[in-house]
Amino acid sequence: MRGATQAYLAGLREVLAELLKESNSGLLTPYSTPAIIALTFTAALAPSWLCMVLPPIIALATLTLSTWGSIAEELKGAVKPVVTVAAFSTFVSTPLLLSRDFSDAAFFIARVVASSITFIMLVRAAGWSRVLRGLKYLMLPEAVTLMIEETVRFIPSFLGDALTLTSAREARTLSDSGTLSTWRSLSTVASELILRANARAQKVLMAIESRTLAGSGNVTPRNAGHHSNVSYLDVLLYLLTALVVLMGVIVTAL
Amino acid sequence: MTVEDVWFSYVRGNPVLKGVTLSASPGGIVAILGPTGCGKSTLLTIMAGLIQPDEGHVLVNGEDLFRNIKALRSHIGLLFQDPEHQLFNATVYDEVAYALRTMGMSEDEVRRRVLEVAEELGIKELLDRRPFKLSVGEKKKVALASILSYDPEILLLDEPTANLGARDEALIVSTIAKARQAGKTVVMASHDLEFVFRVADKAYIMGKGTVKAVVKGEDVIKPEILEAAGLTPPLITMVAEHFRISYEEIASLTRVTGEHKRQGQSLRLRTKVPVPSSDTVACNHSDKGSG
Repeated sequence: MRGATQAYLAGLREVLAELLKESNSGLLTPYSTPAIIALTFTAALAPSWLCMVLPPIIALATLTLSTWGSIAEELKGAVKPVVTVAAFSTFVSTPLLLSRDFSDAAFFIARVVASSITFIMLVRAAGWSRVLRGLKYLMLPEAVTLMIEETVRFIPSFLGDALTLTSAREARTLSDSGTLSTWRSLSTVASELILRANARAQKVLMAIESRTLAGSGNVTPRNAGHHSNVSYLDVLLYLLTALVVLMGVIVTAL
Repeated sequence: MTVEDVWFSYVRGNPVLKGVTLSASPGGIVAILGPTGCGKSTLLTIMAGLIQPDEGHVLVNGEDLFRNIKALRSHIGLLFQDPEHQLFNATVYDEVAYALRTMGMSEDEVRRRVLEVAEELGIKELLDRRPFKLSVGEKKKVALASILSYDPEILLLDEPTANLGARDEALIVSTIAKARQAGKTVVMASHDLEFVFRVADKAYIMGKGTVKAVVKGEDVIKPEILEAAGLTPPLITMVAEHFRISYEEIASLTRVTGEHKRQGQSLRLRTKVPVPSSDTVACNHSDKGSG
């Protein structure tokens, strides 16, 4: 039981770490953030199967173009987060199959999965830091951007703490006295974990703030290089997004 | 950097810092010494602009840090006491690149800077690894690289040598020496009196939230100073006492000053090992190739 818990926590942390891996290509710039959001929402609200399938295909094409030299490696890295998120989305949406018409429910679940895949692939193509910087360009308050970043960065650290605590608990549990005892042992870890989570969240926030040099007001960092300009891939993504959004609007109108 | 009469409490009515004042100049290395819980780490966190003091000011180049935090943040680099708390990215490369990316630097420039710092700190082979899977020493080096990458003018180092082996400690000493040569300001909190003795120009000895004494770096191993500050003498003090070597002589032999000679990437220090008497058991413990 405990071995399974640790394997689950370690696996989930690995998936999240893979999801948070930054793109080194820089071909999608922070200016692509609105297109990423629009395409994800288009998949989530798609009125037809075609409109739903197109965003993940565009996302895959964008990922391929942005990481041309290492696409096999990138796709391999994207598989775990995609499968995990798709599995979670499907699992939490399953009750719909019982309460609604089957085809409606299946279409809903498919849209959830499609939008998740679209988002994961595009974020992987652009990198979290660029997507978050793009939110600042959208005039989102800095506090909101910081909260999103804090949440995204905190979860893997939190899972790490959970893993450490369960391992520490296991190391000091000297007898195997059955499932009930194991659950009792894990529940004591949970309360400690909640206490640690608060302290950890503050530390992560400090770590982020101490190295967040963006929005440095009137200061141009002394050693900063060229700032990003809109890339050809940004433009391509915007064009394709506009096309899919337009298609969705037309299908809805008809 | 100047800290003026800083007061801070985590719980109202129970101040951790009680009117702390200190200053550090470019090219200078300042150490903050004191027992656990005396407020060293809190003081560094305030100096990094991460928590605001209840009273007092922190001035960077004459400007109030908390009035212009966004502009001044890129001038300051803080090395956390526990590197586990500092690292939050998916790979070591992303960790070192994080601050540069938030600056909006081009990816080519980011790559160049990351490789440069990684080479300097010997972590090039770690760049694709997950930070949470590294050893403590490796994490410390990655955390240091993550702040050196954006080349801050002020380095705040919280227990830089804690949990490090001799080789990694030498790397920290070398980094500090380079920072001094580059005219940077270094402020470090440390328990490690021998390390402070070797590198610091000035030491603030803290106790119960206040500065108890300000002494020269080479004086921090003197028994009378340690006694007054309530600190346990380090091994080097006992060695000096035992062999009746003057503290000035030890300082001239082991301190890393701005005048040291560089040979390749390592520091070349003049050393003289006292010859033990016939009734003494001596042990020389050091890394391979150290001589």
